[in-house]
Amino acid sequence: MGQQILNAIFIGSIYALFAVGYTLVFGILDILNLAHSAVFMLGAAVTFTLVVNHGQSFWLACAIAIVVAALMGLVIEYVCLRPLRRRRAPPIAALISTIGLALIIVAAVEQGRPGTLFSWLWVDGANSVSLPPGVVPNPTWHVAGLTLEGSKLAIFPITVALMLLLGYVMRFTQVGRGLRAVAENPRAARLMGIDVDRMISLTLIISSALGGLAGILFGVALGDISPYIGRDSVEVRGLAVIVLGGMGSIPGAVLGGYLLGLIEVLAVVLLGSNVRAGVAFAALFLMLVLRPQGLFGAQLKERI
Amino acid sequence: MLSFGHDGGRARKFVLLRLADVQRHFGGVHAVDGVTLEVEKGSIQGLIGPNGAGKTTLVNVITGYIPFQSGKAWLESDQLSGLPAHRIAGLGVARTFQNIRLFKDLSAVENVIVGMHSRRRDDTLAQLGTLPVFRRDQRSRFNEAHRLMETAGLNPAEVGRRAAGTLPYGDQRRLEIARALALQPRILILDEPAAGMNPSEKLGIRELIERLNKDGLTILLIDHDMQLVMGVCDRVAVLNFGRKIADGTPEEVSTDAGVIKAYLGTGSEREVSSAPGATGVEEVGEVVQASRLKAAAEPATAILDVHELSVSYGSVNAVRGASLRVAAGEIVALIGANGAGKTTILSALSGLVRPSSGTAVFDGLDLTTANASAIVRHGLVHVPEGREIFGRQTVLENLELAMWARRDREAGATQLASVMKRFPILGERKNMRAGTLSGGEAQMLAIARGLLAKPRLLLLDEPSLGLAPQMVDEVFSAIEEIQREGTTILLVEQNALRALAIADRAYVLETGQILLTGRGDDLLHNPAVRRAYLGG
Repeated sequence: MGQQILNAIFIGSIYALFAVGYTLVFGILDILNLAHSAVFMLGAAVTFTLVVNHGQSFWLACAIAIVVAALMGLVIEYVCLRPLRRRRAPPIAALISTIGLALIIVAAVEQGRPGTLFSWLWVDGANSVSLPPGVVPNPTWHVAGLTLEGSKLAIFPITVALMLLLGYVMRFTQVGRGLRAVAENPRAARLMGIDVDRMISLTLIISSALGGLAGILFGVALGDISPYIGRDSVEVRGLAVIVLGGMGSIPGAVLGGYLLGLIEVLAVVLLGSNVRAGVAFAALFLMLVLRPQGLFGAQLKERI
Repeated sequence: MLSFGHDGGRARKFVLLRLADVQRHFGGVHAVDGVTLEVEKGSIQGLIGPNGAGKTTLVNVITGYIPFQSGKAWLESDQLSGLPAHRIAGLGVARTFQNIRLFKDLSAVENVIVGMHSRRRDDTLAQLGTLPVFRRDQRSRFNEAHRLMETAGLNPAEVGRRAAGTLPYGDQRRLEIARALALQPRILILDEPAAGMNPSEKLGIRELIERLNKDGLTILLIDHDMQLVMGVCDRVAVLNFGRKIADGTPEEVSTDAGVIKAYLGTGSEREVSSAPGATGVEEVGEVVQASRLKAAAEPATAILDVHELSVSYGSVNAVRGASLRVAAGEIVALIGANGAGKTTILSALSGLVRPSSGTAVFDGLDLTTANASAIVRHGLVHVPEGREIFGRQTVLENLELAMWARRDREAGATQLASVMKRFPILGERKNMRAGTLSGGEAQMLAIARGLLAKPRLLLLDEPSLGLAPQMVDEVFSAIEEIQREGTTILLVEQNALRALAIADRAYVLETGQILLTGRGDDLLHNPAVRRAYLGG
C-alpha cells in the first residue's frame, strides 16, 4: 500500500504539471488547447532522440526539449490561436485547430524512421521505447519494505517547487497581475496599456514548457516513450483534472492532479488494473454532476 | 372595453391594449415597477425613456417572453397576463426586436411564411404533406408573403429568395416588420425599428409606420430617435427607472420638466430651474441664433484633433464623420442621446475599435493606426463606461496594474500614495477585492486607475452613471480637481446638465454626427440641446 501511495504521488505530480498548462491557457483564453498533449509527447520524444540518437547528455537533452516545447507554445499561438482570434472566431474553432496541430505533430513523430524526412526527430516509428538504464541517475533505496527510486522521488519536489514559483509569479509580480487582468477582462487590460497578445504568447510559452517537462518526467519515470503517450496517457486525464480542480484554477489543477493520481491508484488496488482507464471518466462524470464548477472554480459564468 | 378619454379632443376612446400595475423585478432590481398604460385602438403610442428605463423589459413581459410577476394586461377583452408567448402572439400581439432576430439562413420569403405559423391551427401534419391540395395552400402562403414584403417596402422579386442574413441592414429591419405583419396582428410592437439607420432610412421607416397605421393597425413604438417618436406618435409615455413618469401628447411630454430632468440629468438647483426649454418654446429661435455666434470657439492649437471620423460595426454606421478638437488643459464634454455614438468615438480614440475613415491625432500620434498599449504610453488614457475594474483583484492590485505602461516606477509609487490620499476610501479598502466595492467606490477606483497611467488626456465615459446623487457630486468635483492639476479631459456624460456646467466647451452628438458645439454655459441654456435628446 505504501508503495501505491508513492506511485500516486509521482503520477499525480505529472498529471498536475500537465494540467496546469491546460488550465493556464483556459483561464486566460477560455480555450482548451488540445495540442498540449502533443507538446507533452514531444518533450519526452526529443529528450530520447537527443540522448540515444544524437549522443547528448541527459541534462542537455532535457534543457533542449523544454526549449523546444516552449517554442511549440509560440507555434500554437501564432498558427492555431492568433489568426482565429483576429477573425473573432468562436472558441470551438480554436479547439479544432489545436486538435489539428496535435495530429500533425504526432504524425510527424510517427513517420520518423531511419532514412525518412523526420529521422532527426525520431527513429522508432510507432514503437514504444525507453531510455537505456544508466542514462538517468537513479539511486535506489529500500526502506521499510518500500522501494525508493531517486528518479521518481525527484518528481515531487520539482513539481512542488515549480508550482510555488508559478503561484508566486501569478500572485505577487506585475507580470502575474497583468496575466490575471487579461484573464478577467482583456478589453480593460488593453486600456491599462497591457499588450494582450504578448501576454497570451507568454502564457502559451509557460504552459507548453510545463507540458514538455511533464512529458520528460513521464518518460523517465515510466520508461515508456512513443508518439502516443500524450494522447493515451494524459489528454483526457488532464481534462478530468482541470474539471476536478475547477477550469482555469491553478491550485485546482495541482490538487486535481494529485487527487486523480490517488483515485487511480486506489482503484487499481481495490478493483484491479482493468479499471484504471475508466476511473478518470468516472471522476469527471461525478464531479460534473455534483459540483460542476470543480473544487476551486468560481461559480460558472452565466451566459446570455 | 370602453373607457372615457381625458384628452379633450375625443370624448370616448376605444382601448386596445391595457396594462394595469405591471411589475417585473430581477433580484432587487425593479426593471418595471408598476406601469399602467392604455393604448387606444388605431393610434400610434410611443414609449420612451433613458437607457435602463425598462422599456424592453415591459415589452418582453407584455409579449410573454418573460413571465408576469404581478399586474395585469388585456388586449381588448383577452387577458394576456399569464399566457405563454405563442398564445399571446396567437391573440394578435406581434413584435420586432431591438437586435434583429431573423432566421438568418432562411430566405426572406420563408421568414415571412414562418410568421404565418401561429394563425393556422392543427395543421402540423398537413404541413408535412406534399399532396396537391396542400401545395395550393403553400402557393397562397407564398403569394401572401410577397404581398406583405411589398407592404413593408421590400421588393420580393429582388430579395425574396436571398438568405435573410445576407440582406442589407435596413432591409432586415423591414423584413422583421413583414414577418410580424404575417401574424395579422391587432397590435404591432416595434422595439427600436430605426436603430442604427441613417436619416434617409429613418424617413423610410417613419413613412412605413404612418402607412401601416393609416391602414388601421395599432402600433406601440419604442425608439431613442426623438424626431421619429415625437413625429409619428399620437401619444407618448415616458419610463424612468421602471416607472411611468409622463404620458401625453408629444408636445406635452417634450416640455415636461420631469422628462427633461430624466433625459438631461439633474444639475444643482440653479441648473434645473434653467434647464433648456423648461421655460417654454417662444425663445428658441433667438437662443439658437446666439449659440451660432459663439460656436466658433474651437481652439486653434489642439492636443487632440479628430477630423471626419467614421466608425461602423458591420453594416451599422455608429459614427459618421465627426470632427472635434481638444486643447491642452480643457474639459470638453461630448453629450447626446443614447446611441448617438459617444462611446464609440472614445473607443476609436483609445484603439479599442478601428475607424473606417477619418483621422484622429493625439499630440503627433496617429490614433487610427497605433495599438492600444502605444496609445496609453503616449498619455491618452480611457476610463471606460461601466468602470471595467478587475473585480477579482484587490484595489491595490488594480492601482498597480494601472502603472503597467509607466517607465518611472518611483514617481508612480509617489503618485500612488497621493491618489490614495485623494480617494481615502481606496486607501482604506486597498486589500479588498475590487469586486466588493460599491458603484461609487468602483468609479473612484476606475478614475484613480486612469490617473496612475499618467495621462495627459483623460477620456472619461459616463463617470456618473448609476451613482447616488452625493456620489455624483464627488465624482464631478474630482474631475474638476484633476483638470486644475493640468490634465486635459474629454468627458462623455448622460447627465448633460452637470457635464455642461463644468465643461469649457461641448459637442452635442446626434446619430453619429456633431450637431452643434459651443461653450459649456452657452449650451446649458440652448433649447437645441433639449431637442437633441427629446426631439420636437
